[in-house]
Amino acid sequence: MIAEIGRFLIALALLACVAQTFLSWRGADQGGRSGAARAGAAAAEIAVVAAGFAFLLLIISFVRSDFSIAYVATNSHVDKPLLYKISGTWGGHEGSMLLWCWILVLFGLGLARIGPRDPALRARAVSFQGLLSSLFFAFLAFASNPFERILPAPIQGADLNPILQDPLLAIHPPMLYVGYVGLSAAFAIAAAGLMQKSGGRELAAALRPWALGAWISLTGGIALGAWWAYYELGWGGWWFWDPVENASFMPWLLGAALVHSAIATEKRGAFPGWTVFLALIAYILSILGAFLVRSGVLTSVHAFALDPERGMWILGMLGVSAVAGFALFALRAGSLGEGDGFEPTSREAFIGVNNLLLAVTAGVVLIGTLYPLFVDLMGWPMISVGPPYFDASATPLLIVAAALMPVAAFLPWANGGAKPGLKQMRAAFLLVPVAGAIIAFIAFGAPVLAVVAGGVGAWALCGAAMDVGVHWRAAKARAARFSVMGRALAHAGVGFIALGAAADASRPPDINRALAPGESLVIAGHTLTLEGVRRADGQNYMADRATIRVDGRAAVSPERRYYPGADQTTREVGLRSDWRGDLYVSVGEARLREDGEMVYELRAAYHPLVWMLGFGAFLVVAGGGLALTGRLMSGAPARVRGRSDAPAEAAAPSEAAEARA
Amino acid sequence: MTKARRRLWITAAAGAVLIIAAALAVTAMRDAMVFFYSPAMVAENPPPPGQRVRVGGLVVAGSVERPASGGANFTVTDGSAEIRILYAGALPDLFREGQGIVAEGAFDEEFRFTASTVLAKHDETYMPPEVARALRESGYWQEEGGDPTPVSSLDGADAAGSSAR
Amino acid sequence: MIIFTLVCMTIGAAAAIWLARPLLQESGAARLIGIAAGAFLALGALGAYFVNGMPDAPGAPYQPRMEALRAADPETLTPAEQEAWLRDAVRRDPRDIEARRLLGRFLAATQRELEAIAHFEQAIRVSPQARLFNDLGQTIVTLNEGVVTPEAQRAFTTAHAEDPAMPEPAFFLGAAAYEAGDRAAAAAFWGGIITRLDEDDPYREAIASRAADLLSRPSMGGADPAALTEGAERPDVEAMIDGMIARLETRLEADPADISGWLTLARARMMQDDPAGAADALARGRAALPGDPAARALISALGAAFGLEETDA
Repeated sequence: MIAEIGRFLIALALLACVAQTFLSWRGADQGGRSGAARAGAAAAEIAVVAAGFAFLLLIISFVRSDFSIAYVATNSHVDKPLLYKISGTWGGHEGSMLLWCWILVLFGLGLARIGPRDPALRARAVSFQGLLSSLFFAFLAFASNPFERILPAPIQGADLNPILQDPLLAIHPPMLYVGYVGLSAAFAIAAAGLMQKSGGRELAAALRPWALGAWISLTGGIALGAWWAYYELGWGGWWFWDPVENASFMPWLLGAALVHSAIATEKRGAFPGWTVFLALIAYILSILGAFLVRSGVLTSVHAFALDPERGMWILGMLGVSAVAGFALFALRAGSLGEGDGFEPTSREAFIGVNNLLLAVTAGVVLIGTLYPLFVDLMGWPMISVGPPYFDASATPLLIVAAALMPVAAFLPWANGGAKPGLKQMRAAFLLVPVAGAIIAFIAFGAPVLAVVAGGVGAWALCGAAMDVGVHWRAAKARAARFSVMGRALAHAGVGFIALGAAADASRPPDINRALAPGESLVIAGHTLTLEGVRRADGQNYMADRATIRVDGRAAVSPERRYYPGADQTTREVGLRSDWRGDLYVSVGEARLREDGEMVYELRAAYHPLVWMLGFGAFLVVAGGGLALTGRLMSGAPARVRGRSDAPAEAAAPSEAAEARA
Repeated sequence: MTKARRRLWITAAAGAVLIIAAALAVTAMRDAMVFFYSPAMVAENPPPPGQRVRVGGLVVAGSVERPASGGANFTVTDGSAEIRILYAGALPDLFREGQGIVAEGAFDEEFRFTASTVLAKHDETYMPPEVARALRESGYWQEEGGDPTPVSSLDGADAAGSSAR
Repeated sequence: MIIFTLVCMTIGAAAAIWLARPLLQESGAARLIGIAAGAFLALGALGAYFVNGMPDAPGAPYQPRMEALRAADPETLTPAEQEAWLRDAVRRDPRDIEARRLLGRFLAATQRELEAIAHFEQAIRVSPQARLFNDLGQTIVTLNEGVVTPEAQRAFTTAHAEDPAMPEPAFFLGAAAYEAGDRAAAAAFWGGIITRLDEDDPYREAIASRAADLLSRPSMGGADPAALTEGAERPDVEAMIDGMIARLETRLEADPADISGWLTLARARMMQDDPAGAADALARGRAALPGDPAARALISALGAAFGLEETDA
């Protein structure tokens, strides 16, 4: 019965989203303060509660191992640890789609509560968000229902893909989805603004916090995914330019462009059309990402449920969203207005160039990702486009963008003049550590691109430090200090990521060799000695654990696990990290030598300064968080204004609920 | 600066960046594009030695050999021809006999294929798209109600778990 | 079904009221819209539910299902249910070696040797019994496609030491010795087990005939004479067999206790279409090993396989 109630709740949420779309639309027509607008907000509440309970019921079904639900049967097993029973709820297509939908309606409710200050704009945005949610809930209810039954129920489940049985994978998808789906709020506000003929500045101010929040979350989600790929897939890579990764990288690039261009639009009214266009297309690329990941049209190293029929659904949703957004844009972009003028050496100009570079990079990635698909559709000889393409096209563009980044913080708005800025930045002085970094990378025999990236990374770090040094004291207000600190941290994060990527690209070649107990191999000056291999079984797997001494001292213990429920083998990597880098060992298949001696295949790698990648991503997230806090504190905290602006009735339902409770 | 001049500036900058990006993308694509060959295509019209290509097919049951020095060698088939693949790296965990895989690498003068990457994925219904297309074209594999199964009796999957020991 | 209907109706009605409330507070057209929206929400949800809904389908959580299974007659269970039953027993009492052993055998019989081995090993940790070591060894042999690996050999050695009367460990230890080229040790293992088993034990005959077959194969060069006869010139094969017999005779002269030698000699004679010579070889072997019942059993088994009468030299 739990499953059937869950199905009913999904149906209810779908209908609530439809009601939200129409009621809020009417509410917006009536100025946004009418009963219809409030009913639209109530519909958003119903959708949130219904989808939330459906999600809860699905978790309960996982915990109780109810294999009469097809989704549970294909993604769970009685012997799976409780944590992974719970995280398995969003480990497959249907469950993760439910999570996606729930986050969509949560953002819908968020817009209804703390959305744009103008009530008509807010109601219109809630209506557009309702439309986007309705599309996905229809897909969920009719083509991806997690409560689909199989009768008679199988006695045992097929288990969750073991590479997904990892603590990081419990939080990576929700974070990523908040990022993907959060961009829908920016889309909804942008579309609503075009509909309402709002001014560009007002619109940028309204959508920037949402875009920033979503982009922070997307950054964190991508970083966690890269980290997971680094230690769980056992190949030692953290970024493969794989279609699934590109699917998240394209909205990230456009999101990065959006959070910057929105500043210029909000503060100076510059490029309003471009900002709105970015807000629309960032979410459309999110849906495109979902299509690439879930339809199985491309070969990827990451796993997901794959089904061409679902692909058609997602393509349909993509089409509806894109047509609605772009048609509105074509008809109404003129009403956004023109900003004040600016010089080519002003901050606006630099933000513009940064936007151009980020957007063009996204385009280049898009071409590389979709071209094989296009070739396949045309029936030409099949091709694949791998990392060499992206390294030669996207990476140089990103390096240029990162090189310009530190300067922008020192340029004045409007009437530029690069010289005072560079002087204030003490640019000439900063070139010393930059040259040091470049020389160090050359000395380590790094490839050309890595030397350049290393220099740019050092440049960005120094620039960020100088940014704090110069602007912290100048910023008197607390909100302004948050903004300065947020900007500097995020930019320093980019510097760390560039340095880490450059260091990783210049690492020594990996070693793959079979060793018998007692034998050694040498990598990056470290001697790894295989001491022995013994059994170390877990709750739902069997494992061989190798003990490997590093330089005769500390040991690392990589494992090779076999999960009988899923009938699949995985590796657990042995890592020894310090500030210089990671020693990375994984153990492969055992084999026999001629003389009958058992040997184990070891894969050893050394990743210098790899922590900088994770730390850099953390700084970007932290910096984004500070900037968001500063933005909410300064001028127009949306929450406070929203409360005071909205009539008393708007808050009535929740107060009534509290009173009743 | 006047509005017109600003427009000119923006257009010029955008045009320059776009041209550079397009040039980068086109040259990179020409160098980095990797063609896919099924075993039948290799038998018919092999790629020149040394050229980076992708090959793929079903791993022939019992063909996997694991040299004591490390790495693994195996044979893939599309039903009409076979390719022997030499691989010095660690096979992906999802690799197994009877399963569709894709390998990237190059042929040498003696037509041995040395792979630098092997992609495999285990999902009962999953088949790398290029492999699926090659198999469909060879008539070796048919889709039956969306549940693709090899038509032949290549059921080496049972033995696959043995690799854990 | 009734409860489900009531639950859904309650939820639907509550949602409809919550949705319509802000509109009902207004007047005129808004009220109508409110009522319509509420009805649309509740009825629409019900309609969307029934597109694929199965209101009658009961849930099947694992625990209650297992309880039902435990109460059921084991005879009526399907193999999948039997497996679930055994897993459940092991999960509830990890020290229940009986259930664990049955589960291990079930898994071994369904090509899941790795898991079976893990269960046998765990059972051995609870109670190191000969039959568990035996099961373990056999599963390792199956996993390695018939090869008695060192690991399997260790398991069989332990099992054999614990319970020398158990036929399988001795047989596989003999097989391991045979594979390693130690025919004397193989004959000792096989002979030992043959003498320990009752005359009418089906294992006895099976092991004896298999052992006799293996031990009587010519060992030099590893070449199978049967394979050589194909294609090769007849005189060459004849000459080869003659040479082999001559060498065997010399060897047996020096070491008459070589049971494998006698068996090979008999087999070679049979290949020359010389049953009398074969019978003679067997008889001489029997005479050369008077106090060895195992050797006698092996010789009888080979004689039976060749259809020869038992005679004493």
